Amino acid sequence: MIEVKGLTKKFESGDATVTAVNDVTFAIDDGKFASIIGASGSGKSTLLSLLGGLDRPSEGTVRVDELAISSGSDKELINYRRSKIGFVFQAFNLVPNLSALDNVMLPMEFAGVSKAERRARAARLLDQVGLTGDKQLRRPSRLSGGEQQRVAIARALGNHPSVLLADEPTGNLDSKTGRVIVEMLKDLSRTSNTTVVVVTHDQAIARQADMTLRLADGELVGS
Amino acid sequence: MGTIQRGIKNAFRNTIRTLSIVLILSISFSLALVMLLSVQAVNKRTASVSAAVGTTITVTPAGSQGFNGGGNPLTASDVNKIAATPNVVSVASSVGDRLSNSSSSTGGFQAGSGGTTSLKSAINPGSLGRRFGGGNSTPGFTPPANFSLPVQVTGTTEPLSATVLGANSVTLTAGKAIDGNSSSLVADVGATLAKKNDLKVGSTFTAYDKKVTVEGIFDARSVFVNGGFVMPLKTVQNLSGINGVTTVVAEASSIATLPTAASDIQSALGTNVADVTTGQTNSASVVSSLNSIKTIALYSLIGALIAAAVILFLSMLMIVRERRREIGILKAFGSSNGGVMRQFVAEAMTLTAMGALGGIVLGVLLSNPVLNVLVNNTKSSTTTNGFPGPPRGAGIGSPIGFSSSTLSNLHAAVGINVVVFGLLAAVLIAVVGSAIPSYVIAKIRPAEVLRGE
Repeated sequence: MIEVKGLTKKFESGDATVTAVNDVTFAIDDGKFASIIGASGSGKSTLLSLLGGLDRPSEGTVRVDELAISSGSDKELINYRRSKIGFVFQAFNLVPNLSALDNVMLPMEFAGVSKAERRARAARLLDQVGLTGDKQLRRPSRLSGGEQQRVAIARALGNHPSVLLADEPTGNLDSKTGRVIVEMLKDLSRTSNTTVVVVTHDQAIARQADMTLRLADGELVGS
Repeated sequence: MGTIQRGIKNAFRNTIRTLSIVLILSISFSLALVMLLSVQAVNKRTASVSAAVGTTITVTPAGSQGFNGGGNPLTASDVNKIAATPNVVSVASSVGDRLSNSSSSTGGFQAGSGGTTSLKSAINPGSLGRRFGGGNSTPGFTPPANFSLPVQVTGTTEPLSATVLGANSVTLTAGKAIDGNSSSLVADVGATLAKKNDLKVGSTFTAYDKKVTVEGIFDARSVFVNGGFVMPLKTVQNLSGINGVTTVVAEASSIATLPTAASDIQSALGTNVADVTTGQTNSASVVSSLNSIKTIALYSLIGALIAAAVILFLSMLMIVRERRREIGILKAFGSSNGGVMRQFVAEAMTLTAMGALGGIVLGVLLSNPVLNVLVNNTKSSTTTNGFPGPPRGAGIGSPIGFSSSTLSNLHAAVGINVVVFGLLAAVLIAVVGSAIPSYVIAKIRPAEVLRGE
């Protein structure tokens, strides 16, 4: 379960202080498919970074499965990202000189999974997301956008995370491929009890979510 | 694929950039290697020059040189002053004389006290002997049928001292060394003189009209020295009537104190009493030239290593900055700062290893040509400033001389220590050059580098 209380994130921008996330409080149950929507600059991605332990809040707390990540040490955050969280980015963010298989194996390596096990698990995950055969050995530049995002989803699932955070996962895809990817994420929350949080500005995706958090100027204006 | 393998693989991510970095590093490393080899070659040569110079100071009466010139013998007081000079650890006095053969002609030139001997010179006069022996070197001159060079006698307290006799080494081949402090009528005879006159240990011959007994036969590996004989100092002084000594060989405590000791002796005796010479006078220029090469090489070595470090640092800084997002991804998926750094260090090590390999190949090929260029430039400047000629002779022989060949024959050789040093330098440069930029970037929170989403 994700519990967020009074979460605030401020940035220094020149002489001014920008409040990207302002006193946000919510909770998401396990296995839910949640969306965070809002206009560009509303603080969606910053909120996702705080949930994923990629950044530290200025105020407030974030607890994931009873783990207080907002006050955890650097080492605890690293372990949290290794074991609890999977990320999917809009720009895929695959390592360009690694094959699809190697990209999926990457988080497992950090988690200390043996080489044979991570190879087998990566191949299985790529099969599950529909990337089979020699495509698994291709570099990202030789895969389509949809295929790259499938690789990114497989990578995010490598360490069996309890929470999958997706930042505009369909933003760089055509609508048909986008729908396939959203179905895949929804399926994931239903079948493996993984909590999926998707940041999007696409109302169609938000409508499919179990719950939607609406952000405006960093504040939660509806859910 | 582990962190290290990923780092190695990343080193080949951009072929042109990789080749450029490796080429520049190779040149830097080769220059460093060449300079290191040059420093070692110079050190080796400096040590050999210093060893060859020794610590000998030769003191002769002012105005005399062998049997040329004039001046008065050095007195016992002079010898005591030399012995009392700071940094002088030992003193060996000698007096030289030349004896004519009683049954042969010296062409009217004696160049000694006028004493005679039954010994026949073992040295072939040649044209120089006729010239210096008072003969006539003009074409058509025929020396007397009984012409013979005078025989050299040295009276000394150190009978078989190589420095007193002016030889590189003196070996007793038969009998024993005479007691140089006695006043007995005994002698150690040079090998060729003994052979010429059929002398053996126990044989006798006459010198200064006295019967002298052969106590030993020595080999100095010098035709001139082997053509003479050695007697106790007092004996020669008494028989020749030379009231004093013609050469004092003093030993300084070390190479470092040699110039000071020589200068102090000169001051103590005065320039009108004694001429003081050392091998240092001549070697100083050579050592100075060697030190110039060493200084150039050392600065170049340091410069080349700094250049290599800077090149790698800037390259890695560029690479790390370029891969900020990738570092963010690695951290987002659980890589530690140390893991990120290890990957970049592995990448830098791969680049450096390739650069070092190229540097070793280039360095080995270029070391001797570059060293020759350094030497030739140094020799030119040395010659311009007046490269000293051979040192003046003193006593029987003359000290070892140095020439420009001392510089010319420098050779650089790659040893295991050079390879170890090179590898250590390469590893250090790679670690520092990559760890700093990757550490700075890795410290940034992943959200900061992924914020561009």
